[in-house]
Amino acid sequence: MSDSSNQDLNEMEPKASQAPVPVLFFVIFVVLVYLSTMYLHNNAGGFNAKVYEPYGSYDVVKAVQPKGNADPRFEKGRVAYVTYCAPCHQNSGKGAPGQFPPLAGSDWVNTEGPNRIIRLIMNGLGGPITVSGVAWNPPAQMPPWKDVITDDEDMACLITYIRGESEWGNSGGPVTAEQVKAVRDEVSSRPIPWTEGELFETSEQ
Amino acid sequence: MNNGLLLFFGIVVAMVSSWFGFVHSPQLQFGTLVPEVDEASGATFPSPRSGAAIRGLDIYRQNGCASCHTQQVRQESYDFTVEISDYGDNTDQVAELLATYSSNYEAGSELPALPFNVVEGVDLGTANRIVKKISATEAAVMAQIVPHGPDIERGWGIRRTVGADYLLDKPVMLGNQRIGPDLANIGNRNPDANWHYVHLFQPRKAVEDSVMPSYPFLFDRIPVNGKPDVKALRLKGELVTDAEGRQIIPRAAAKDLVAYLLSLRLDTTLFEAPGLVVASDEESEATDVEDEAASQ
Amino acid sequence: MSESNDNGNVAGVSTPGWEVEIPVEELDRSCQAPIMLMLWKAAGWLFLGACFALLNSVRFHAPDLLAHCPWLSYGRIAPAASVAFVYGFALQAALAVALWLIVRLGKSTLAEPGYALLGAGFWNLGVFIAFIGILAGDSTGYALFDLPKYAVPILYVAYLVLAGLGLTTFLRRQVRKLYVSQWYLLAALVWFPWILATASLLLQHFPVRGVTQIAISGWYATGLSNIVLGGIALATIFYLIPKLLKRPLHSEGMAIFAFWLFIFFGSGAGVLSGSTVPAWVSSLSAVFAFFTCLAGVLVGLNLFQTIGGDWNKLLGSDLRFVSLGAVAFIASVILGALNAHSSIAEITQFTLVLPALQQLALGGFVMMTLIGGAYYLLQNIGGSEEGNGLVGLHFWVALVGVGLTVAVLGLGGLIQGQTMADASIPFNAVTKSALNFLRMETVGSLFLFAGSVLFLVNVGRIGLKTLCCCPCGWLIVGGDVTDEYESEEDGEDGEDEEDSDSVASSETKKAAKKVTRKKVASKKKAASKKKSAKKAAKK
Repeated sequence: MSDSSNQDLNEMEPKASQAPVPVLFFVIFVVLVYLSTMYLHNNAGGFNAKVYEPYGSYDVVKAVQPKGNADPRFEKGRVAYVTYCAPCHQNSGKGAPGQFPPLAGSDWVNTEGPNRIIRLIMNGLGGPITVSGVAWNPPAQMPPWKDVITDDEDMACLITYIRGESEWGNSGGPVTAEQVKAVRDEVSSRPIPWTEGELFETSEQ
Repeated sequence: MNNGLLLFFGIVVAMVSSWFGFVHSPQLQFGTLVPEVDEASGATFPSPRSGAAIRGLDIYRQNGCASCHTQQVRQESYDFTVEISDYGDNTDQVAELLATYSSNYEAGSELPALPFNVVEGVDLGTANRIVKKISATEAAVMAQIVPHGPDIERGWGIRRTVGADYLLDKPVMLGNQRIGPDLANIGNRNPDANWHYVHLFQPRKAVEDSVMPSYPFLFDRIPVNGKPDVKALRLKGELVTDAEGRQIIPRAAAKDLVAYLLSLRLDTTLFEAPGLVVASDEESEATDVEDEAASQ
Repeated sequence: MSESNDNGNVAGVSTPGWEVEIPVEELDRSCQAPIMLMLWKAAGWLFLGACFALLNSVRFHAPDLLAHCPWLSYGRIAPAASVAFVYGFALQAALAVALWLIVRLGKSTLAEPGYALLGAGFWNLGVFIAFIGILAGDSTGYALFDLPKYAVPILYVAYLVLAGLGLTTFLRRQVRKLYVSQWYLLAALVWFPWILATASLLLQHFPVRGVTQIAISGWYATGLSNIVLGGIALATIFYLIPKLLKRPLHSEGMAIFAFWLFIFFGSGAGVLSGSTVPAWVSSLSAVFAFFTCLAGVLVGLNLFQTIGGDWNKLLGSDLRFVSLGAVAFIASVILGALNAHSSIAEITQFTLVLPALQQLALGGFVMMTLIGGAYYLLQNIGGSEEGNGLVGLHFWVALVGVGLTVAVLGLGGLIQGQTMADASIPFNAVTKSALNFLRMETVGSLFLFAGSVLFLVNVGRIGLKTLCCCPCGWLIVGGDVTDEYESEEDGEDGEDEEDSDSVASSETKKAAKKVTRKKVASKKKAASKKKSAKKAAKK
């Protein structure tokens, strides 16, 4: 008897019946999709190749980089920038489209010598200007700062910061108080802002 | 699901999507990394290994060292230390700020020796705020990131390992078992080649109660004729001999392997793995080599 | 599902809905030779692998054991044992079982069994070359992909032959409706050539740089153990449990859902957080592990409903191995998902928990299921009796071996992880905390070794019983059939001992047995069966 039932068994291959999938599983599946998305949002670092645990995102990795420059003048200039310049040119140095040209990566900032940029900051700028190949026609003039930042060293630190902020991609050299004084002596009597053409007539250095 | 063709296509889609996620994307993202050149010093990272070390990597692979040793360091968290490296001229202002922020400084006392840690274990926001305040006094101050994790605290590396560390290795011997300690920084933790030779020849001579197998076939055993050979192994000044009193001289394979081990260092920082570089030499030198290695 | 009548499928009577009906015996006979060869070789490799694993385990008691011989050093024996187990035993037994399942479920004979024999021989050649190559020092250093460069093409060609024949057999199937097992088998057969080619090309011939190697080797290892080996093992579970319980699988819908989840997410799990890969790789891997867990739970629920309370039958000799395998599968996907979560991986990574989970998946799930499938298969192909005492002994020995190993390594790993997480504890103490567990694990290895001996003995016995070689190399079924032929041709040529033994049992049963066995003979032999039935009746 057992032999013939074994024989039956041998012939009978398994079949699947059609009981429905419990709705609960679809619910669990959806919940798992949601939880996984959250998990990836928190832990995947934006799928960036440079983000390793425990850093949460690329911005975090950038933010924790050692500020290579422990130069106090640089840091002082950063404070001055945030106070005076960032309201228009932004903390990121990128400015605002149509209104304030960027300082980040600007060819006016990254010149070999700081003469033109010192003049520009001392007296301000009016009218159109081309910055790194992009034409700007700001509606408002850039105000003069010679009477606001009266100390040469303060202004030198500020310009050192703007020229040297590597996070903006700037790599201009530092500026000394003597350089600022030399320019201030020349332009302190000038009442009106520069135009681009006038600046081009001055020395690049 | 009775259509074999449809089933086949579904399976192919699954295969391709998993390949895309775990083979293709990694290759696109970090398979094309090249060693970076540091502009300041001209050094490439990772620095290329010597020929002996490359042969040593092969011996490491052949003998399956990766079945008990890892070469990867993990990191669990990080925090910041604010460090002053120069007080500048406005020392009174600095002292005032230190009194406010630092628990390591008492108001009114002399300014501590440099470099001085104003605060430790704070988050980035706090650290940046303190740095801003202090740098307004023209002191040289900086926020330093301090990685944390049991691996790092054991000295197995100053930071976690990342992909760029292995760009020149073929194959990458990361390992996934720690029967023995991690080796990513062994060149710094234990730079004594002689200790490594003894440890390879008979681990129990170098580390008591070690379960590492011995590798006598990497060494020649030569009877001592009068004066022992200069290259023979010595432990704490005494000649190491086998059971029959012969001296032990490393073969080329042992030398290559040890050259590889000594080339394993994890002491530079990278963009994706910032860390605290330890400047002083006293900390990294092992005075009592045997205990130092054993306790790691 | 109603049971068929007592006569079963006597030749000539076709079940409604089938056009051509090939009797089960003919199906079994068509694939007998290559499958038996493969199972025999697989048993041999399991024995060798268990031997070497035991040797390595003993070394935790005596580290200097055999240290003078570089070919037998710990670091070479470990990958060699792994290759013997995974490629020599697991993949080969999986292919054997897969071919048999394809033949049985599709009801078509195996295509070109001669080529299958060739393929099997080639496979073993490849494994042998890989094995020797690793001992000689050519291991690749990647877990589960420890095949030296020169061994891969041989294995690849052999696999293509065997899988190709399996696919051809599948395409020629008589039963067009596909059962769950066939989905998994199709996926497994198609998956392996893809992952092997990718791994070999990108890791050996045109090596990728840096930790991309780790991502690819991890993907290969997970694909091999989950989709290929795991898929074939799941196919076996889905085949044997409903069949031997004589109940239909509870829900095809659940099976579909589980299958696609498993195929899409099963190959991505395994990269733990904290590994030296960017954060997204390990988090994505963790998410894949969670979904694989869901698939496993769904499979478990489906089987649970199928069993429907018949738990006693699960412990019956046919189903024991496979039931244990199913339990181990569900445990391994759940534990795998837990382990993938970063908070747990912090403790368990780089500890003995990893080999514990591997042993659960490869030993508890894949090995047990394939052995169970092999024993059932051999009953049909080889004609052994069920309820063999040694098979039962093998079950208990293997259960103790796997259970002990998993438990001991798991516990040891957790303790090791806790001590490793405390940086104030010197590393020597960390190793010491794990050492006792490693030493206890030797007992588990011993049991596994004993189990492999029993498997070798059992397969060997069945093989010897079945084998009766013709010069042309074909195998003939059953000793007593041969006797029948001899007695028919030579007249009264001695007594048929089987007949005299069975006088005590019911004659109908004997006649039915003979009818079953002789169906495969040509029509001329049909007359002789009546003759022998008369002979038995006379005695």
